[in-house]
Amino acid sequence: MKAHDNPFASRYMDSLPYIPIGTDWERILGGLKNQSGRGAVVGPKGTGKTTFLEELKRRLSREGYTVHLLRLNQERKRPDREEVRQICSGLDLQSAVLLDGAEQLSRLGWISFVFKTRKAGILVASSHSPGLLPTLLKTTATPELLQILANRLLPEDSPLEPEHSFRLFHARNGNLRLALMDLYDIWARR
Amino acid sequence: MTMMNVQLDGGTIFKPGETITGQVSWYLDKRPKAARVRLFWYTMGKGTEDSQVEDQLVFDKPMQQDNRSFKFKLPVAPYSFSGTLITLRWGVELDIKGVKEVCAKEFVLSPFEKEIVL
Repeated sequence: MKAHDNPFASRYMDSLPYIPIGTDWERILGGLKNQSGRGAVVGPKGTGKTTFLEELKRRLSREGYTVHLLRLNQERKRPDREEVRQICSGLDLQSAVLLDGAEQLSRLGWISFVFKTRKAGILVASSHSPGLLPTLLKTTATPELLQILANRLLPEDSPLEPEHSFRLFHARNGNLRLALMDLYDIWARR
Repeated sequence: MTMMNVQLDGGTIFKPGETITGQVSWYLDKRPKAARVRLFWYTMGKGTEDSQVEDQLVFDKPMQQDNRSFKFKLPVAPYSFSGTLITLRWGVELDIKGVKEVCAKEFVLSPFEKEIVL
């Protein structure tokens, strides 16, 4: 199968929504308000932290917030100084700063970032472990969630079977993104 | 009601360096503030995807209902190709300010008169 026909091509995977487990968006947003607009999204790799932040960005934008989403990763361990300076110069209570991959920052870097963004009405950071901000959400993944997500991309007549989902999920230690990429390879061979 | 259309002259297969011409038309609920047509390519597949706008034409004083022509000289690369891991496609899209959707027509850019299959 050619890449543009593959249901697990990146652009389709990236369009998948965040599906809360054991909670819902109303509770999450209510929790954020109760925590004075500060919260951490905590969970292992590939469990939906980035997807959550993207969905949060859409929802906050709809509520009238000016949202800034910054991404850090192994290749980009600290935010661009000029970008942060520009963002921070215009922050107010209707601003939201979302930082993906906060674990990349040093302790000092994190303290500095929190200080610079103090005027923002909302600050949410994702991290692999708790402790940066009061935990707002713990992302978890299950074989059932993998099956739900895969079946959103697959044709109705070719759903992912529970057993297959279970095997893929455990082969990738619960990393949904990697499991979905394995499905890409399986479909590419068709 | 929003209607947008992109038409290419001379089919959907072009050689590198050729000129591509066509027409775009639209019918909108109100007069748009800006409208443009863009020549672009994008990749699709596993992993990070890439895209680039190679050229664009901004239309002067677009009307609520309008019909414009465009002309682009195509670059010499990259060629259109498709494989199991990655696909590269070319297109021309009509982008109107204030309209969420874009209207695009894809074409093949190849010296072999067909898409390269990896």
